[in-house]
Amino acid sequence: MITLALYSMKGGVGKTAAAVNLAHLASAETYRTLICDLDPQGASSYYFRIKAARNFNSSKFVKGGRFIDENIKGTDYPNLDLLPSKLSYRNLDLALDDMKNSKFRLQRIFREIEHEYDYLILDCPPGISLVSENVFNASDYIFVPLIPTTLSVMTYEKLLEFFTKKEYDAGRLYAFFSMVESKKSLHKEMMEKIESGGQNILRTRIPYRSDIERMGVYREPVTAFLPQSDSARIYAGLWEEIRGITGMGRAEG
Amino acid sequence: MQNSQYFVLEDRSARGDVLERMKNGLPLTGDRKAEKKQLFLDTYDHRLFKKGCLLTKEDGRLILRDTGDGTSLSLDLDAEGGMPRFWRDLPEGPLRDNLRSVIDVRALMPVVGVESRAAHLNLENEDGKTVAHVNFEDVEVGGDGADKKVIHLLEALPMRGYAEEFQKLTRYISDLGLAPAEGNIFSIALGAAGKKAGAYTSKVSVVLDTGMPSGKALKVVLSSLLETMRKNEDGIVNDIDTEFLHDFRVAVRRTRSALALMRDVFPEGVKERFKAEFSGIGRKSNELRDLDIYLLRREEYTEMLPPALRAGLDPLFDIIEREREEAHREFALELASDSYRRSIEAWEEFLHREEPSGDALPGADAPVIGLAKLRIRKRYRKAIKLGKSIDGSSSDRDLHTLRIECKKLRYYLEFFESLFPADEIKEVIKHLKALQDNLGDYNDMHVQQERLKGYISKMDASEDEGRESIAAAGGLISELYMKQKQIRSEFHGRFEEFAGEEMKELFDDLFSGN
Repeated sequence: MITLALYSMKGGVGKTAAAVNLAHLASAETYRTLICDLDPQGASSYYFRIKAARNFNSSKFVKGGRFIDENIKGTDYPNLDLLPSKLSYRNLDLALDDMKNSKFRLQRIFREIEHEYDYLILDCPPGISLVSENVFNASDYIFVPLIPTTLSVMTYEKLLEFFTKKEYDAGRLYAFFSMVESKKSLHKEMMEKIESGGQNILRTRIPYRSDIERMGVYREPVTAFLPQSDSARIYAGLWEEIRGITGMGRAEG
Repeated sequence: MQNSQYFVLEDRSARGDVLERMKNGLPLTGDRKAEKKQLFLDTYDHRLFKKGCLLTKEDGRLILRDTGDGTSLSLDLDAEGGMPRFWRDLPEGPLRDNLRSVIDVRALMPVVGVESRAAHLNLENEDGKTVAHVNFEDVEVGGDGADKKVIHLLEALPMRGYAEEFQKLTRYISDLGLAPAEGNIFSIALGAAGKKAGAYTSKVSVVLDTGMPSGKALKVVLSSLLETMRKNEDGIVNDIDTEFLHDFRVAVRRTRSALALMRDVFPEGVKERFKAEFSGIGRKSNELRDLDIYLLRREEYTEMLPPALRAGLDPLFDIIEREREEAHREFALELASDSYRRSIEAWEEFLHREEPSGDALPGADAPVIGLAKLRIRKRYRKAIKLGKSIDGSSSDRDLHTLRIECKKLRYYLEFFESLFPADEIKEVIKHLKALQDNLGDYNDMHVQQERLKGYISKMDASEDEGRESIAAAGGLISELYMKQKQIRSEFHGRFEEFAGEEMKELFDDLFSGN
């Protein structure tokens, strides 16, 4: 199982949209895929019309084992399952803090399902917390959507500093441009500047598009409800790049 | 995750009615039509089915499904040069590995073909999320011609995380008056074709009761063994895989052992005659089985030798392959011969003869439990006595005699298994098997070395190729000898455990009295 995190310190950068579409694309290539919604807002659960069981909560989640097994739900797409989040995940930090080896808890939980899936995709909450550190330890690769604005770039630099300070391997960290408005000259300048900076920056740029926004109305990945659209094609390009980074080939059913 | 649940519809006309009644009470959406043509493949003894797997060929693809967790593996057959028979015919990969672990040396055979036309519907919850699927299927079973049959099924498919909804769905369908069908599409389709999935077993699967007259009980056992022999004949003649001959031979050996139980039950003449017949059949298949074993071990032998000696195995295996071809031809002719057919017919005639018959002796009417206990007791004592006499100076022949004795004891236990408490008899068999495995492996090493020595004398030492083969055979012989020594060193431990107090008490408990 290869674990990918969609992570950003900043909220509203197109993280969930990327997680949902990438997971759908992976599963369509017959990779057994699990998307794990870690965000208490539950946006990716919402996109797949999935609600967690009433008695599921953050402290059960951190216990792992059968609580994970019982709460994974099949989406409407073959090979794609989802572990929904609960509003109580806002206390995930506290729940993790109570555990031994609190920074490695997620890694341990996910190890138990590593033979069931080819890809695990983590849709992470914003911020930098104990949850984030768990994500960094549990993931093989971390993908950061980046809006080409000064503020976004500043937070990304802070993340890089954090990685250096805590001695995480920044080589596993990749950024891609998200919610790009190509008409804005500031966006263009920013992207050029960053791309020349020598970091891991993916080639694919996700534009700001209304059909991506409409995912919330259709409650389906754009790659499923508008597979021929530009947006779907762009996500397919992003997936191909990411699949390549993970060292996997195209698998087809 | 749960498996899907099938329901059988009386006929095609019932479908509209059922669908309407389901739509009245359940939020069903969609009506996707699909057609599918599947050929189910499995081994003769349905090893895949028994492990909860289904292997199909559909649209030029080979698909292995695990009905337990709903996962599947597939492979493009056209790109891989047609239908595989053995696991090794497939390209390396997870499908091949999974198949290998289940089917081992057995060949894949087409079992049943189905053509289905299905309508797929989704069961949705209040969020518009699909929580289960419903398929209406018209399934045509069997290939062509008159034996074609059409069945009408309703399949309810669960989705992970929605067990409650699935339960409600199946209850709803049951309440409509539809009968849930056992099993999956493979077993249901086979059932429609008048066959039972997983029915074949090479085990002695007879159920006796303690009061049954001995004569009748023996005939029940012997008839079941004959059935096993007959079922395997075609597979031997058509050379499907090596297990057909193996199962056939085991049934022949068991028959010979069971014949020994006939004393005081049937006239000596019957016993003697058929003992000779079955010994003959067994003997005529020895050569073929020995050669089969060699060919099955090719990989193992290659691994045993240092790389520099491995090339010498090729000419050796060329000889074995030629010999095997000849041995197969001969034994297939034997099975087709008049003399074999006459033996079997006479045997069937004896087995089907109504009881009581003038042939039967007084022992024929005695309850079988007495016969079973007495004979098992005697075999056990004899095995213990023989085993205790084995020491460092015992010959291969002594160990061989003990091996045969243990085999007979094992067969007796298997014939009469149903007369005794299942757990305890299993415990006895488990310990006996551990000893038998040791003796079997020891004998096996011996036979292999002897045969290799025979090949050495056939090789031409004046040629490079001959010299290489002699070196390879020599290398193998010394490896096998080392293994044989190792196995021998483990004998005493295994025997002590089998002959120990605990087993003795168990034997006394189970088999004293009459």
